[in-house]
Amino acid sequence: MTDDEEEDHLAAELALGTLAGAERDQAEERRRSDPAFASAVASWEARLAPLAESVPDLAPPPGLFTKIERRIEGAAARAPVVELDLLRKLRRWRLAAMAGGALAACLALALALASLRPTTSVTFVARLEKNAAAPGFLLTLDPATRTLAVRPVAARVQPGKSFELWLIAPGAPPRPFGLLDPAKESVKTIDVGLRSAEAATWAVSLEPAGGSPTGAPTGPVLFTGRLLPVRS
Amino acid sequence: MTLSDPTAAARDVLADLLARTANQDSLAFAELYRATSPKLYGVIARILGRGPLAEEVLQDVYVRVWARAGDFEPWRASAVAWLAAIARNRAIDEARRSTPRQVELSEDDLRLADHPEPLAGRERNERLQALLRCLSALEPGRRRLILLAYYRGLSREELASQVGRPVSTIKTWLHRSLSQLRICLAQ
Repeated sequence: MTDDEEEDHLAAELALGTLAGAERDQAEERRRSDPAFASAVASWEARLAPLAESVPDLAPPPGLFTKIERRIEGAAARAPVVELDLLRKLRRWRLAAMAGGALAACLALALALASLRPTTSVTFVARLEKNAAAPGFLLTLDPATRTLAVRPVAARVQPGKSFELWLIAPGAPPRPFGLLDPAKESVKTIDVGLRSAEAATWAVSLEPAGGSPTGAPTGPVLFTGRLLPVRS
Repeated sequence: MTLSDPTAAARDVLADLLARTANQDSLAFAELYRATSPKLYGVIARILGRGPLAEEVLQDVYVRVWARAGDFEPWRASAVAWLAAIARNRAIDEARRSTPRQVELSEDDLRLADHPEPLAGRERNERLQALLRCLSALEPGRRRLILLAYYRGLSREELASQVGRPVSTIKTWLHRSLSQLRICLAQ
């Protein structure tokens, strides 16, 4: 059996729910930290989910929705808890970044460079992520040269697949910006205005090797993010 | 999905409700609960049994849906499929706290596992039809394992004690059946 098959069996069993104990815990942890595995699990969930439509409905007891609303309001009222949660996410992201290699150094360098430049200087940085705990790539845009440096953080690609970068502007079809190397920094020159680059969402999709055959994303969108100015 | 699919419009409504829920629209969230909670409670209660635990899990599921509606990816699955996956996952977390359980299968469980199709009057979508076609190509005993795992949330160990076979055999059967299913669904 190939590694790919074993991977897919694990994803399938996590989605089906037949794993137990440490094996289930490890697979769940893997789903949180490995976007390609998470994507395989989501595909299996989607394959099996039509079965839910064959399960007879059962009315929940009345009054349950009020309890749900109270829990949501309760969570919103405890704002400091939310802040703590954000801090925890940030810390986790920093740890992930350090584990992922030179990202922290890259971010520090971007900040340092920004501080060395004249006061008008701005660098744009974006974290392309699945969620705060799962960053995939770090984008740094130098507005003077319009160069976009794309650095992988914790992105792993399945054999036979490629990562492709897209700019998704409001009301326009996604625009391809080429393939990304999951192992090292990719540098691209962009021909769009700074305002468009800042207003748009940047996204990375999983495509067949060599990129999307259609010119539009065909695989799952694994990471998204927006550029934010880092002022000196 | 074709335009003639009678449930397509209903599914678009749910996807729209999820999108509005992601924007913190509490009216849309209430409507989403009204439209989907009987399905999700049905899914959860089949795994955990009716009662306080299943109700607690249903609450958790909708609190999560409120927080994470923005993660819904409409190109991958229908809204019901996405919600059902969250509900099953949360229910199975709860079921795995005491492993392996002593599971008594009811007549109803066996009927659903052996004949998942007949739900009188219910419109079946194309994805369910394709899945049922591929499931019917599996050897009946192995199909039953997959369906009991899905509907009742049985683990490999629990499946093994149901059919009186070693866990390693169950694992091999599950893997073969799932590979076969994947190939069939890709056709």
